[in-house]
Amino acid sequence: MELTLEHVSKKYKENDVVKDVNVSLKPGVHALLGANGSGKTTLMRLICGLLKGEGSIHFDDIDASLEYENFASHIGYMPQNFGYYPHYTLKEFLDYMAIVKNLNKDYSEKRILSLVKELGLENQLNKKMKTLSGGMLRRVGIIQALLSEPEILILDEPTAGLDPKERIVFRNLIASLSQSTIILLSTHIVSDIESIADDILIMKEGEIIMHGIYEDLIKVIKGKVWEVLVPKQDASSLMKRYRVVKNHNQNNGVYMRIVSDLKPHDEAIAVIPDLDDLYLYYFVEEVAYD
Amino acid sequence: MNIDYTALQKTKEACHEELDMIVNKYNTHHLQTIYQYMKVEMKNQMIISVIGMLLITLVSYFMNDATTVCIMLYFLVLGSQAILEYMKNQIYRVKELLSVSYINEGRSFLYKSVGIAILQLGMFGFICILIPFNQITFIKTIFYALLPVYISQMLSLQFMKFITNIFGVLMSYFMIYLSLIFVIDYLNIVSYISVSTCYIAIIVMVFIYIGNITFLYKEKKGRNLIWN
Repeated sequence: MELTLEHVSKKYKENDVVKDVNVSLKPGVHALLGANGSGKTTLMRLICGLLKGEGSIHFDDIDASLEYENFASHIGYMPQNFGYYPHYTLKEFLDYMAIVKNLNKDYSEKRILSLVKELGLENQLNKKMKTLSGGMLRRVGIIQALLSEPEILILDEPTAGLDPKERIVFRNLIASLSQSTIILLSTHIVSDIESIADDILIMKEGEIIMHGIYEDLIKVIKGKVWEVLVPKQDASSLMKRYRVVKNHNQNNGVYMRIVSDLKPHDEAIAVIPDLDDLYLYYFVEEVAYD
Repeated sequence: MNIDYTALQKTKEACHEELDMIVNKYNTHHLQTIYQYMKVEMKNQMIISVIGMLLITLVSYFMNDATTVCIMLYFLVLGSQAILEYMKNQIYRVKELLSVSYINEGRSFLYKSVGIAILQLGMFGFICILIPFNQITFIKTIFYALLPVYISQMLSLQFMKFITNIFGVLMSYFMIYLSLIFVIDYLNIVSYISVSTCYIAIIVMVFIYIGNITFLYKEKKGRNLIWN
């Protein structure tokens, strides 16, 4: 089971939103990491066939451009802005989604019950969609994507708006599916990726600039992450000159974690990098803007 | 080694159950899907059908030859339904979800318009009993309104694979409808057709309609595709 993207590109007017993406995904959790506007959502929409672009997309021997319906039947998709009919109850909405996905009634009844239980929404089945909280709606989005037990699961910012407990439930659910499903999820929440992703695709300005497992990606910035405790008067000058991942005041000065090719301070010591550091290393402009 | 045969049997049954569930996942008949979908959306279908049929009946009753107006009203109702459907999906941002589903926006509208047409046919039959149309008006209504509309819908179902949005459905209806009207006019069918032939034509059409849907379903299975 393999999802293959070859030379996938998309232009809006003259701007390259997605540039020549070549990637092959097997069952497992693949995290798409990138700043806002880096092309994550566009790439996901291209895979789902919601946008037409250049290049080819295959799921095993199914060509998405030639057999779109067959291809789409293997996809479960949760968009970033998940839409729903507010006057439907949760049960009605999920039934409706099962019908539009052409699922057998007996199958969908069982599937809905098991998913709402797993995601803790069994008590909300008769409540109107408009009365559900943001976190609950996010979970509904995940349920509708999983209804048909798809082989390819595309989740655009699935954990945005979930509280820590909901996030854990989501991570466990994704982990349980990862053996048999190709899961592509986009996020800019680094901690989510560290805990669930089998491999990571880093996207910048429409290109996949890095693709690999966590340990390999981190190696790129090995020896470039530093920690130092500096007097308060030195802190602001370091802040201006370097990419600071963390800083907080302590009694005897300011603790700082810095990403830099060169040693930023005489007393700085090199530490083991993590994904936050890598993110800052590649997306310094976006972080500064945020 | 001790084997618990009861547990083994239970495991076997559970495995079969799971397998059946997977096999049956998409095992739905085309008509069943349409029926379930219509059931969910029935309220709106009924309202639109009743409004459409009332308009058509009123015009037919007060005017001597209302075929053209009937058809204009039919497409007006259909167009209103299309705009409502489009706006609803835009406002609630459901279009994106439906686009990767079997019943996408276009197919949803196609089903709904078929539903409206079937309901209107039923109401038309009821109205025919209540209001006595003269023979010419009746034949004209059948040949210029009902038959071409239903045939357009039947043929559009064949092109379902290529229709992904509401405007595709409307275009398909218009093109087929206009072609049929051209043929009916060219052959001057209305001048030599009797009322009983009209009834036969409707019955034949209903059979073709059912045959058409069954054919689509068999073709779907034959090609071993999950959808379509």
